[in-house]
Amino acid sequence: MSERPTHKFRLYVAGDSPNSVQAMTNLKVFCRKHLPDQHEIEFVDVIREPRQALSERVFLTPTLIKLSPGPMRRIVGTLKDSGALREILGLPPGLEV
Amino acid sequence: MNQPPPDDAGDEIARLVLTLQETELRLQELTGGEVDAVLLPAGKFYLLSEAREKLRQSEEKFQQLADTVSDVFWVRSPDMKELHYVSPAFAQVWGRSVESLYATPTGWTDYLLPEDRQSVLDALAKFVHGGSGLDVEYRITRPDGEIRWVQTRGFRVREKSSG
Repeated sequence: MSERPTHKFRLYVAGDSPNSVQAMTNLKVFCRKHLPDQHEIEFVDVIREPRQALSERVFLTPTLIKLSPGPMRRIVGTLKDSGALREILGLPPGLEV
Repeated sequence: MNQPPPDDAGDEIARLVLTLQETELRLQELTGGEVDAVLLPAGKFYLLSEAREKLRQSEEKFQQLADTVSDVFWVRSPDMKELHYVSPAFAQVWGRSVESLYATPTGWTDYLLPEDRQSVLDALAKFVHGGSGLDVEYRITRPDGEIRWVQTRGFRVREKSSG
């Protein structure tokens, strides 16, 4: 990515647990579709880095945190319902594909 | 709680049967099945898949024990008034259904021979009020009129969290 990303996410996952993998996939698909070339996703494995999760008050995985644009918001779950993602991004509830 | 085979079944099983299953259900309710791991008070994340597997293994072990052993075993509340589990062998030994015991958990002492009853009640009271173990022998009357000798042993199982 050459430009500075406008949308930053941090996704807390538990290794390769099914729900975590699903959340990763769903987030990647969503971003590719709706925020092409303007997003950045950081993945944090809570099994390896529990301290970071603790410092950000993440108690469950998968948890997505939207870092920017503000305000900071979070979603717990597999993100299979992209409606929740649209909502925290302020996107209009569009057609599902 | 009270559980005869102290080493085989152990406090792990009692704890799991009583706690993990409830926790698992509660988590499932709370998270809609979309969560993989939860933060424990110790600051470590616990994989729910691990918890499920552990629970499954323990239940299997517990079930095998309960089904094959001809001795009766049960898991009770510390005051002995509630019954969390009783094994199928109860019906063979006592000649009464396990359902009847679940319905009236303290009713088993009614089937004791009157001359044996008081000593058992005394031993129970001692056990409930902090005695380290329970070991009583007594006679019971079955519905078919047969009188049988029964030995009951009890052990206390403490949940780790409650110290």
